[in-house]
Amino acid sequence: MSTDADLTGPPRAAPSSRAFRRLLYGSIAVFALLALGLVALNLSQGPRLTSAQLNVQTSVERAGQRLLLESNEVLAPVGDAQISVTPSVGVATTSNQTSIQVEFTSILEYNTTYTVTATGVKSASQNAESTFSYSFTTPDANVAFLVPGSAVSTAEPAPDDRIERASLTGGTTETLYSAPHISRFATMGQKLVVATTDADGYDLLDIITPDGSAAPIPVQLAGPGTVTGLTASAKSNLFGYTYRAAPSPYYPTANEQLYIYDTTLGQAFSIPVTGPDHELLDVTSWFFVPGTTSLVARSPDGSLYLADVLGLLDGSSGTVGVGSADALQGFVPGTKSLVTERGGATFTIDFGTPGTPVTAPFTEASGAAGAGSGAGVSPPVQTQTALPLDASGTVVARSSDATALVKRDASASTTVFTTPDGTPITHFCLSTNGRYAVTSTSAGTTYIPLAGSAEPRTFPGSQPDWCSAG
Amino acid sequence: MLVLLGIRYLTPASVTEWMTDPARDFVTLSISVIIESLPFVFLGIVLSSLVQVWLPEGFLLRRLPRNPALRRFTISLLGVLLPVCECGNVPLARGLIMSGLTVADSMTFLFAAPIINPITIVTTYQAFGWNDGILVSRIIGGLLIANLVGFIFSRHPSPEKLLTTGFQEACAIDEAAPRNRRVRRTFLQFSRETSAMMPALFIGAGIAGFIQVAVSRNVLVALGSNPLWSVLALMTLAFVVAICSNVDAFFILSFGSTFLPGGIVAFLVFGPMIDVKMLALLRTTFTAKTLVQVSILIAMCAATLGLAVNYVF
Repeated sequence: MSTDADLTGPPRAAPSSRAFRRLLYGSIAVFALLALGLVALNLSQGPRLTSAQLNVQTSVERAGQRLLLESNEVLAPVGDAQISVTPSVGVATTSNQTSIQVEFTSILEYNTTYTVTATGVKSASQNAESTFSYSFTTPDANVAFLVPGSAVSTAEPAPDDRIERASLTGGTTETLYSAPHISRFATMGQKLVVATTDADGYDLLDIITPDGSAAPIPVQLAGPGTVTGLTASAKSNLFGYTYRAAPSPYYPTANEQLYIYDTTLGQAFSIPVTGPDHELLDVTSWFFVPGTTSLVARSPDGSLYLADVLGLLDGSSGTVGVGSADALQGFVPGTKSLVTERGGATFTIDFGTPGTPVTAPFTEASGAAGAGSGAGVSPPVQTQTALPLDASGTVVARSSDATALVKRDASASTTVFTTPDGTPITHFCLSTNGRYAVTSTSAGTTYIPLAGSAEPRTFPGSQPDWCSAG
Repeated sequence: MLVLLGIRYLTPASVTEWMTDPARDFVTLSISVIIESLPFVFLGIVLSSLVQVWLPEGFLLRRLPRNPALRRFTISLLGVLLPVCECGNVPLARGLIMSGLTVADSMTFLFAAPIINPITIVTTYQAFGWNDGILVSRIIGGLLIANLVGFIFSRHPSPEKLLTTGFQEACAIDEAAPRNRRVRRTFLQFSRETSAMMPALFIGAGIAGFIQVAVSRNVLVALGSNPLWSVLALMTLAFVVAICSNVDAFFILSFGSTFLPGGIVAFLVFGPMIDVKMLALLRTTFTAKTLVQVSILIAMCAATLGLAVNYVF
């Protein structure tokens, strides 16, 4: 045992007991004062926003997305009145412990910067108030479509067909992929599923990574034949296609059969969707149930079937019958309700509740003129083309002369788009979030906003990917 | 450890059935503190014996800077070389005093080493990363507090009065011991230190177990969101649970969403320096008055640090 003096060489004046006590208790007093000052500063400072979470991608796809604002302190309850959003959006607010949940009651606009402000936020244990503010920008609306290569002269071979991508809010288009004789395609996040036709007239199917970071993956078809439909569910990493085998002497005609491919399994064979009898299922139309790995398909005899794709893949579940329908109109955007027609009436089948899907009548909105049929409604529409837009019965349909698109809700029928030169609309669909209608004419593809102030945008292509999204 | 394992092996599981739940919790918590600390205490005693018996006389002292502040700072960094938690540092600090280090310098080592030992730094990083400045505040705050304590107690006019009479006598015996027969002296030193440390460890573990049973953790957690109470509550928790600095970051991680970062920093700085088990171990070496003074000083420093972190982050 030694002292500082032993180690530092020349002796110095030994500290006195009094000096030590003064130093010790003085230090304690200084720290006590510092602590008191910091307590005062802490208590005068309200809670702080430490982090925020929101899936901006899904915020433009469906309503009910939640922004989570995390505070550094447990908060006193925060209500709707304290929350403001610019541009204005309806919200439902809850708070719990250190977080505030702001639920957007509607789908957000594409490519828009929103600022959410919570005023008068208090800690549960003190009165100092603070304001939380958080800004985020929603993703742009990117669309892809097929641009056929057209030869300048008959002497030259036609250039490749191109799949191009563009933004609905402006900017130029870019080519994602080009190849001869692209018959159809679908987008799956950063990947494309492309069907091309070979020299013999049979289809090939490949999974393409447009940025070249991965080699194309050929999807083995069940033999020579044609891909008659293609739908991708980017959320579920699944795509499905209907396939018709080429006629042969033994099978001069063939029905369309449905196959599913799980892209998470890498290079794997697509699997056929089978019916409850484990035979290949012939289908006339089908849809992925939004946000799930299930699909619903209609067979030529009108039977409806529900199958979980993952269950089919691993053999853990099979296809089950869920009734019948004369036609499938499609899912109400943002829901799991499928609108069907049967015996001249329209029904919804809700796949969102556990157990047996619930069937209920679906009454199409009558518009200003009343009746739900196309006849007598101004402007008249082709009722059979009506697509459901929301659960209240709003539909979008082609006008009787097929040159306009009409939105019909409970209060009015509104023409939302008219083709510029009277060319007929050959096909139309709704975006999965219901914000846009997409029309195809011989002149190109037009994206028509069904709400808000955005302008329609037309591109010289066909087969918009939004119409093959599940 | 073998004795404990032997008792467990030979004792039927039903032996504690007659106990009430609080009594069973008390036994479990007390034994967990002992089991957690025992390896480090023994490691500390071994290192202490090696320092005293096998290092040449003055080996350590000759290599330290002569400037007191610089020397204490160097000593406070020695913990980087020693993956020993606070309970193992007590016998080692005793050994350092016996081998000639000043009481103030040994205090600096004692309070800094458990915080800057490599395992503590790694586990704190694993638990919190760079979030809210918890890791940096712990390391820098711990070093500053340890050096401040060392500085203040270096000004004590009679450092030997900071020590218990028993320990002063032990130092005298060690100074008088012959410098040959090192193996025998090592065993004697090991035996003497073990005899001093074990009762203190058992008493400290018992107190820690008792307080944890008596004081509801829910009460402490309920205070976690207030800038002031979060610091005080977690310092109290650190004092009560007496958990090793090597693993305390993972322990407090589960409270991370409830408590403010300043409270967590106060827990991580105060706990390795002062807790019920440490006080019991330190009582083998330092007088009660010294421990009260040191505890108050460190508590004020840790609280100030925690409040500052709460204000900044």
